[in-house]
Amino acid sequence: MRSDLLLACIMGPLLAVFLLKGRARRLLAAIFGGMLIAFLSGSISGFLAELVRYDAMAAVLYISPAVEEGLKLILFLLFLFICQLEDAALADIAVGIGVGFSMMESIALQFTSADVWIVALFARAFCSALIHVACALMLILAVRMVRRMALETLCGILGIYAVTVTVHALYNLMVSAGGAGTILGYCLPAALIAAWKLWPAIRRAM
Amino acid sequence: MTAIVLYEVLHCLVAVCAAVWLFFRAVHGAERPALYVLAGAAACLFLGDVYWLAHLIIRGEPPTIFSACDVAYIGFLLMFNAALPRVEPRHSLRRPFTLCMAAFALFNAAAWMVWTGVWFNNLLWGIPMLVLALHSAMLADQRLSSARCGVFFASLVLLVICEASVLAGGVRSVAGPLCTVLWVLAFGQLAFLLKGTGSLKRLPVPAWALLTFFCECASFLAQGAVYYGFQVVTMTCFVCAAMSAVREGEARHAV
Repeated sequence: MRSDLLLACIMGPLLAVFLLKGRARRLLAAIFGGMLIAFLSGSISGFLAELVRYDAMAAVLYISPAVEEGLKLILFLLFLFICQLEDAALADIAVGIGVGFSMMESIALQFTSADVWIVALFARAFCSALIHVACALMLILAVRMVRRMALETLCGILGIYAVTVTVHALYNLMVSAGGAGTILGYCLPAALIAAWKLWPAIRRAM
Repeated sequence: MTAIVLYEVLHCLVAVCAAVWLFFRAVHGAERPALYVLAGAAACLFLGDVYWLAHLIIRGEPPTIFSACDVAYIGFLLMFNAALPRVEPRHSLRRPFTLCMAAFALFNAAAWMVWTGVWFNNLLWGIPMLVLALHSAMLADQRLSSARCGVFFASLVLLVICEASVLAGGVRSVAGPLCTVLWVLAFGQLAFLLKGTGSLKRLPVPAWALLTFFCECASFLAQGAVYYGFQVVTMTCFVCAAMSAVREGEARHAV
């Protein structure tokens, strides 16, 4: 991922972080952080792929999910410790990180790829945002465990990290399949976010 | 390959049913976090199997080691450990049974490294297995019969010697089936030791966790039908742990 792309894209959110206050500042800071870790994860994944001699497809399937979700978790924990977030604010940070990450990733992908049909471009960018936000929302469970730190908590956090890596890897695998696999892959994060949004209503009904 | 795919599909179905059942019991019952975490552990198993099947269908071959499958199964071990109650490690770590299970976990990790010739992947597997073995042994190590402990330790020593001879280049056609028999005997001894004077159905969650760890170790050093046999027993132990957790929650809620 080119650093000039990063510089061009992060200046706006960075300025907004300084100018805004309260919840809006937190959201823009999360978006800024998401864009930054997208750049970092591209570099780290590329380095690791070179190290183990994986091709691009193998790197996307086996390396990128672990690196991307790991950086998201670290960023989320940084926000938790620096901003002393309450539970209600965690969703804002999760959405901000996911959106910022997917924005940077989509811009970099579009820069390197050839002309893409506009509907396919929309589907790719929108569904990429969905999967990154869905995984970031799952990381809320891990972040909340930190408040009750014990050995079991560390295991729980790493367990949830394992879930997000697997979901992300499954998405990448299905999207790379083409045809029905791609459509199913695009539906996966949509289903996860729909479940998150509908959960309070389902719980009341139960 | 068809039998393996069928096994993975069945494994997947059992895992998702366990995850859904545990989740609904957690929501409807006493809101115990342990049930949510156990549901997460079952979900990890389900996701690992789904990824394996999806990889086979899409790429035409099973995933290589180390892949998202391994990450999911390691997540299962970690979340299973997170579901266990807290323990004070200071006193329990000195007890012979706990030390023995820790040493056994380390031996298994070393054996996988020797057998596969790969150290990093097996280290990633070995650490959560060691943590689960230690944690569940510390919790289960309460009022264990010293006579039964002695018999179990003896069977473990025989097992370790047999496996070491296979790994050192012993005659696999003779030592291999002997190792399988010793694994089964040691598993039976462990279950007998943990149940004490009670029934097997009333084993607590940490005891089932220890049995799950034991069967997982057995499957890793096995091949073919023996591997799948031990994997089925591992899943059975996890399901029993889940049922025990729900039963404990109901008993506490009733009180």
